[in-house]
Amino acid sequence: MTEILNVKNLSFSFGQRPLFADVSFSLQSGRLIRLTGENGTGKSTMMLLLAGLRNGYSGTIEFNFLDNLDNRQMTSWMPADANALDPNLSAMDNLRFWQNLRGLNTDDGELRRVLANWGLEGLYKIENLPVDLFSTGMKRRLSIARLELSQTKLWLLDEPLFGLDDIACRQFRDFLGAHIQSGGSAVVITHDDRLVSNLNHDVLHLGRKGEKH
Amino acid sequence: MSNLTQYFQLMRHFFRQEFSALERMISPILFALVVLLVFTFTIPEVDDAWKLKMVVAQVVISSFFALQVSLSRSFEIESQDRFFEMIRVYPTRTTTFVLAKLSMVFFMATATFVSTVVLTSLLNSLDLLVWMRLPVMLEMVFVIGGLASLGTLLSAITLKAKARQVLFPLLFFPLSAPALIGASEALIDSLSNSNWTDNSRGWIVLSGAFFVILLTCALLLGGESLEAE
Repeated sequence: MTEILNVKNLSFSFGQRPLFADVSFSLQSGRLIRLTGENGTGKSTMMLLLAGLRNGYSGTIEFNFLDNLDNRQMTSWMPADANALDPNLSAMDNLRFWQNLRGLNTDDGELRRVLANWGLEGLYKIENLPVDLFSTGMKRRLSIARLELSQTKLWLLDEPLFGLDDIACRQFRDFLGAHIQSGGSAVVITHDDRLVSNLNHDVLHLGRKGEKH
Repeated sequence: MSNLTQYFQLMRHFFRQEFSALERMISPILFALVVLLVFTFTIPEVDDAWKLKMVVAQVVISSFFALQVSLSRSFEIESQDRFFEMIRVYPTRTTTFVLAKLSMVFFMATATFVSTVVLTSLLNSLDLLVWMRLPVMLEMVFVIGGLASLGTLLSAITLKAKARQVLFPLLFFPLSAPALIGASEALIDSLSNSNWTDNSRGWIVLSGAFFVILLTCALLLGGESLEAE
């Protein structure tokens, strides 16, 4: 197994208030890490650091994607409280935009197949239906469809089941399992044990005042 | 994926965004129209020398305030639903993002400016052909480019600011003063004379310099301000 992420002595503070300190871990291909901890212990902030969205930390975060120099080409991030979708555009147009940005396939047939896979098959027929009119769960499904199309190896998932119904939750669990089986990796924050209960995974616990396990 | 390809992809997306919500494009033009109508009904008949000055004042003031409406909203969609953060997680350069946004803003500003010119000319019975003179067109490109660059830069800088709605106009109005003064002086001179004059040349050069400086700042500082916190 190849090590694709190596974090050493990672510490982060909001001003004078330390959030976590000296966190070290590594992630190999085909492995899953579950980030746990009480509310406010820095799990989502850790995700932002890994995604490159926040600076001001001490320690090192190293990616090792052998076939690509830019780690962002190989990394996907799913925030907990948002889906990063353009509300004025349709599901197809949203997917096209994000695929284009990675320089990936934007074949309509492929996009429709993935939309159908996530139960959004009726929506592409109404090409102009803006995402703004989608329910919370439908937006999340579209966000997952984008993840499926991304061809990335490392997934940073912050409460990925947010807004999903039971069927979609089960489907996502299988989807995540298939990603790990195929050599992909993921760091997941979830308060729902069902997501990772059947998957081999490591746990990184962030405790209060920098306590970690 | 090359930066150029990404630039075109982003620009295409921004245009699609604008046209999917037509009110974003129409509202600044309607705003300009209302201001122009107010001018028309409140300003009395003046002689030809003053008329030209009034036309320039109307065009510059109407377009400027209409543009402010449009520019302050130029990063509106990206600031919602963590859309912009997601773009930063994708393999894109923030400078490419700013350049694509600036191109779209330039297009919007041109549409607003041209609409204002046409309406002002119609309301004041002025021949539209005078706007086709080279110095006039050159000055308009510089002032539109300068204001679009400044607006994009300030939108990027104030993207994460809590008092964004207050901060943007506070910075935009004073910083755009040199471009507006240059545009007014150059347009009055260029519309009055069919040929280049030393006076118009000086103001156009100043506007051009202002445009280059603001464009450079927008690309360098705008991209920088959008990097990770």
